[in-house]
Amino acid sequence: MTLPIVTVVAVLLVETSTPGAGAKAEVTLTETDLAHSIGKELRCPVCQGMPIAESPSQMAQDMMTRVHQMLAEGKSRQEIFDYFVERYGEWVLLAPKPTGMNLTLWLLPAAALLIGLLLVWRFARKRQGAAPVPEAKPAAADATLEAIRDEVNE
Amino acid sequence: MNWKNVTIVALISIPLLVILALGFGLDPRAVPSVLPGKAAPECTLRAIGGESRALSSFRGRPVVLNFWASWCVPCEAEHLLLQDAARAYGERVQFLGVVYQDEEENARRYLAQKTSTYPQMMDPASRCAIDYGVAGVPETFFIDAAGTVAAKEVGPVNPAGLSRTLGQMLARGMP
Repeated sequence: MTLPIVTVVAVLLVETSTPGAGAKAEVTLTETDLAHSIGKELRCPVCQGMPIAESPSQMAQDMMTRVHQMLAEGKSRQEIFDYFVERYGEWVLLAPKPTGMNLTLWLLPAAALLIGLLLVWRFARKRQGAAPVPEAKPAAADATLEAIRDEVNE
Repeated sequence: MNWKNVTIVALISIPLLVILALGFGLDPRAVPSVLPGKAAPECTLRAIGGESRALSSFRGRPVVLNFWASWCVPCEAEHLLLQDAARAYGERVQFLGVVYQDEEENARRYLAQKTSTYPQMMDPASRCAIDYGVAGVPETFFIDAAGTVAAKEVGPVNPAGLSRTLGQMLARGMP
């Protein structure tokens, strides 16, 4: 949320300070944001699970340069992802596509939640059904008292 | 023992344990090889101390494209092996070195100490390395005479693997 607000403020500042150059500045800022958002979804191949937008490594910076170049060439977000997937496989995507075995990543948490809710529901039902149990206690106590009485009487 | 509960717990936990076991058996840093079988990406490289040249201009015979760096320790032993192989295969195979994430001066000094029998190229902004999905050095790509990536070797190439792959590529002959 903060980033778009900062962008809008930056664009307004540039537009008011340099008349005529506003449109150009707006395009540049938008492209930078877009490149950053794409870079945040691409895994750096020489780091430990870091996106290329946040890695200080030279390779990640070179990959970010490639993203900027492709945007300047008019390539879409999807075309840029496809370019990197063609070279590094789906491994390069920090959020893999929800297809095939990857589906387990999306379905497993939902399935675990469902199973958990079912178990809680079953447990609650069992407890409700077992509620009248305390009534049995006086009967047991009575039986014990009767046994003691019999013993004393003897 | 409540067998019903045991069955439920087993049904939930066994698949999870299988997924975990499979996951722990994988190397999360291993980048998959996706290029073999596909057309070799075109890129422009600059010869050390020389001019730029398109990778496709080396086509017409099998190409061994080796990414290396002067700071890479495993590249050292591999360099000697590749020099020997380049001498042995002569004109039949084009060997090509690509300097990865390194300064030209370092590469020049390194090669002056070890000599090189085949062209060594610089890769400005890692354009070619990214095009080939390189994730570290050494990495070697075997491109056949028709311009298709026949194989990829991550880590130093070994003599047996090198002669087997080149033998297969040469047996397929010219396009």
